[in-house]
Amino acid sequence: MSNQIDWTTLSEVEKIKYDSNYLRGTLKESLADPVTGAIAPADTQISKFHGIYQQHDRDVAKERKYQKLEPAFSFLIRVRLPGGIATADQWLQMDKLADSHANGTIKLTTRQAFQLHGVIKRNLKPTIQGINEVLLDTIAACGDVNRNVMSHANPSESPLHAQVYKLAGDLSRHLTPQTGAYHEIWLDKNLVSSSKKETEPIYGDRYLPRKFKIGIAIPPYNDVDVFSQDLGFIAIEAKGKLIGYNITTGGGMGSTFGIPETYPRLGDVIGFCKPNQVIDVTEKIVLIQKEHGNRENRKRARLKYTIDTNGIDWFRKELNKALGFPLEKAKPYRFTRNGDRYGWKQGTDEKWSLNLFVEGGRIKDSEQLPLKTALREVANEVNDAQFILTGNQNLIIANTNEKEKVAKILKKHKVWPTPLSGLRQNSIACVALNTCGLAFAEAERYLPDLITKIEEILNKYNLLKEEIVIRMTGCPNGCGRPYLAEIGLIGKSPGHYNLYLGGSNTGNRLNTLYRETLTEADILTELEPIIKDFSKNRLKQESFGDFAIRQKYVTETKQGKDFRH
Amino acid sequence: MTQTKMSNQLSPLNEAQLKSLEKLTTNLTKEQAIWLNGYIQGFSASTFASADSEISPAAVEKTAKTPLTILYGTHTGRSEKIANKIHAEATAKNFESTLVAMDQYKPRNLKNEKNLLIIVSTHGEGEPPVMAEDFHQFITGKRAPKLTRLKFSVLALGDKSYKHFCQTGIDIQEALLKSGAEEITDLVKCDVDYQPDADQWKREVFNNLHSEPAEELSTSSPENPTGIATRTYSRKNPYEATILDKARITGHESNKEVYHLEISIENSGIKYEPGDSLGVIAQNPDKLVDELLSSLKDDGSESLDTHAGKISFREALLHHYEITILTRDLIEKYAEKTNHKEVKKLIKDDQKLETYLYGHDVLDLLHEFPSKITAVELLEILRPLPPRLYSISSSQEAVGEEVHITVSKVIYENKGRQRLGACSGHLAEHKEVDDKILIYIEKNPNFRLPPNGSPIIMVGAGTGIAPYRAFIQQREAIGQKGKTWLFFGERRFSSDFLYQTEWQKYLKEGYLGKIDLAFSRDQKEKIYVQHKLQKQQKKIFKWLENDGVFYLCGDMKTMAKDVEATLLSIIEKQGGMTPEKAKGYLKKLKKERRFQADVY
Repeated sequence: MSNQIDWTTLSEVEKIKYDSNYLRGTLKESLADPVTGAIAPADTQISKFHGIYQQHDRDVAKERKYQKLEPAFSFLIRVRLPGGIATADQWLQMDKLADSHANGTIKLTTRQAFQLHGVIKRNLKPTIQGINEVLLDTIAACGDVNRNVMSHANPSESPLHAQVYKLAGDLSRHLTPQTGAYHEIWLDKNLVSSSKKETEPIYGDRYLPRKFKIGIAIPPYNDVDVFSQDLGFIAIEAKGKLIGYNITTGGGMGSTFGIPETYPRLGDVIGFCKPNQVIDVTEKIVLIQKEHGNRENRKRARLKYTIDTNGIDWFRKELNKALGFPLEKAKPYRFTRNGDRYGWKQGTDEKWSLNLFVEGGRIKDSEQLPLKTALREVANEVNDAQFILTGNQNLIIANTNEKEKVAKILKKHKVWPTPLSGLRQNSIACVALNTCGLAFAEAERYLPDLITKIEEILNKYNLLKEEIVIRMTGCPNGCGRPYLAEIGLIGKSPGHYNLYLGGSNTGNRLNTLYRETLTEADILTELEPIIKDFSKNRLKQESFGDFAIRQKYVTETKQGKDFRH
Repeated sequence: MTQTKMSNQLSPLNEAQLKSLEKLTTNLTKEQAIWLNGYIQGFSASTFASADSEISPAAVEKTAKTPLTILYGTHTGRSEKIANKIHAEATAKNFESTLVAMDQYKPRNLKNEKNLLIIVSTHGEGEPPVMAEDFHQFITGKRAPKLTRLKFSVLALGDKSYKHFCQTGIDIQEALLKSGAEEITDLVKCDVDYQPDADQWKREVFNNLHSEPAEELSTSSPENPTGIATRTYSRKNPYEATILDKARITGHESNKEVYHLEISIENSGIKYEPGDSLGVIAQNPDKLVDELLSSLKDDGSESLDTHAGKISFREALLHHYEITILTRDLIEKYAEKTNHKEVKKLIKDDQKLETYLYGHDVLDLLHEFPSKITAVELLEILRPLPPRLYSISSSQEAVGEEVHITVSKVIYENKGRQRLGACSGHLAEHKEVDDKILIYIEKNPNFRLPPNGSPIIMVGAGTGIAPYRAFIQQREAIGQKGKTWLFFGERRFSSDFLYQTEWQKYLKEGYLGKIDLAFSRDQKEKIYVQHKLQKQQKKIFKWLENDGVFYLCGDMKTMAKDVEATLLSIIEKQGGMTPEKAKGYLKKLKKERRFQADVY
């Protein structure tokens, strides 16, 4: 097999995957090497499939070089959590591991996963074992495979939630790598009998060309940003019952500065399927991407490019052929918002859920806000509470009968209720500096301050309550889905951002570059006249993003290919 | 290009070869022909260099090629691509072209360059790419040498949408001009679409370089151009040296402050070998001197006779007498001089005295056992301030006219007062780059690399790693890759792994064969080097049996004792010897200089 593959034309990672013996690589040897806090370069690719990213503290990188010390390597561990629901016990374990083995904080990601940061090499194994103790894992949380499956988050908002959440789990299981590597390396278990030849029935020995993302939305809520997913499902309801899903394909956020053939793209709605067809549809789409995705250039390897290269009609044909039946026509649906709806809500089952805002998705204690402590107290004292991570890096304390008790604890720690501007409530920031190796500029550590300054402007024009989606990332790869924001900010170099306007508040439109390489002062100067204009000349109910297009601050980006940085 | 008809009368080739050649050269483009020309030259040079008797001398023209060094610093690979192309062209044009990545280049060599091309990109806020950081720092820093012989040109790559467009290239250009070098042609800035500008620059470079006649083959410049006779420096006659570089080499989260110092001995004629120590003239902490004076109710201005001549009392305390450390001798003399009952009692109790000597200084003595001692009397009992010795952490073969040391700042608190080491405190707190310090070489013939490249086991804790850096530097400089094994101990991996990146490099290149690390505070139980030795005892004994040399460097009181005891037990166990026999074995090792210690 190997001599049929022309490695010279393929991206390096293809060979690394192939040579890894189903994701083993030399991870065991790397973990045992005492001279470095890093793992071998090839293993940094393989570790991603195990949910582990090697990073280093970029704040001290220069200083350490001068100290003749290697970079301060540590690892990010991403915990898979399909549909975002954790039990109180699981929450407590993450809380504990954050303190004992990581940097004392938990990051809630934009894909409803947990992230621990700052785990040093010798703590990797104990951390993953600790995660395993509460029946969670990190496999396929990163890497060229299906990633954490997202679903609409708030159970009290829709009676369909339970079914959709179950589907997220089923999809996740169906697409989990079958290799025994994870158990061997991290849990000291040997799952595969030596006589049986190991295979990956879906993925094969080189896995997918690139990551693959799935999300399921329940209209009118689009908190999973379904159009940003490689594969999205939009739940369709008739007379209170789930009758199936509209299918969207070819969404994706990532792009690279200076390479116009990379761009964010919204998924196309290609049809409708019944609930019992979802797994089949998903598997076939994954297989088409596996077969036809670009393995030579990783920057062009996502499904969105496979579709744009071959055409959506080709894709439909391939899919229908693989399925053996044509997809039904898509059903009508309507989204009203892609943000979270904060506060208490009671479900049809009488249970209560509280959607909390978590700034930057970071669970930590600060003097002003002992958030981590407060949530630990809730997990300890409210036995029936679930902790649900939302696609907007927020948290829902869910499905509890003990509303009062939760409220009391949160009030004591001043976690809830808190007055927040509409802008802040709709903010997302990726991790960026100091740990993310891709970041050109700050995001999570800086956005809160910038928002405070924009709030001053909003206050001047009486728009503090206006819900405006603002998202900042430290690079154009798009973890914080900045291309869908009404105010998008993407880092170019330390202290400098590109400003994008014209996204919608339902996640159905890409924004457009407005100004390049702005400093903070520039950002505020550029935004103020637009905000002023908005306060005076907006139409009734008109959103900031719609306004920016109608007033021609930017022209609408109609398709991904037209997007420019 | 005009085609030349082959003539077999003028050519040493046979018929068939001529035919092939003709076939090959027909329809060559100019570029191809130039390349081929270079190829044949290079081929003959490398293939027949050692067998030149086979070709008649007349056949090879003895022209001195124009040397050209092309350095590139890249992040995306663009600079490298351009550099490769220019290198190929330069070689074809008969330059003696050398292509080097910036992180592989020793900036020290700049002095020897004649023609230098630099192709470098810029990132973020005008920063150099990672691989160019060191070069950039060197050339823009204080250590940049005078480069009046150098001709250069810079091609700067960047992205116009950023501020500080092409800044790194500009920095390097300015620094080289400042150091006296002359430009071959103006710096050219390239935007993302770099090709046209890069080509233009290349043309300018070759136009200007070709108009220069190749320089005479220069005879290598003498080592000591000034012809000053080499002086010898000593403890009594130290050399006033300049600090070239000073860097804390423990991470900021470490509770130890260890400094790496690079000191210039340029034109001093000073020579040293790996294993030698550097004597540094110490200076006591100002604060301690002030407190001592105030405790004596003395303003320190009075001129007194001292072992260093007639100087003020303050000056004497600051530079010439030991006050940060107590010795048995001093306390005995103090007892005698003051007739202090308590002190007399103290010197009779060995154990108590031993404890008291540790962590106390002259100020403690005066505070705790007050007396009416005068300045003159005090100086009579104090010992002269001895220089401090540091194991040299560099090899002169590698660093030339520099000497490196590794200094751990001695600092601790006792009885509510912060104590500072006489020399380490001064170096750490008051000496910076460009400052002067007084030094001399203290030869250490009992700590030497084996002359024959025998296996070496190097055991060190903390700054005890210093001489091993010199050892391995030496072996790298002379290209010797014998069996080498380093045991290093400190507190924490992340912040205290002294010279970590250098050891990683030596491991990769094979100059260091094995390494075992003991970080005492990275786990619940304390792990020290001797535990690592114990774990490897089989192999260690085997190395010793195979002519291996065992080195030990570090703190005498704790680590050295434990390591020697561990070594004895290893010899006993692995050699199947009685304790007596093992002792004899170790004695023999010492006699054969196969056990060498540098402990302090």
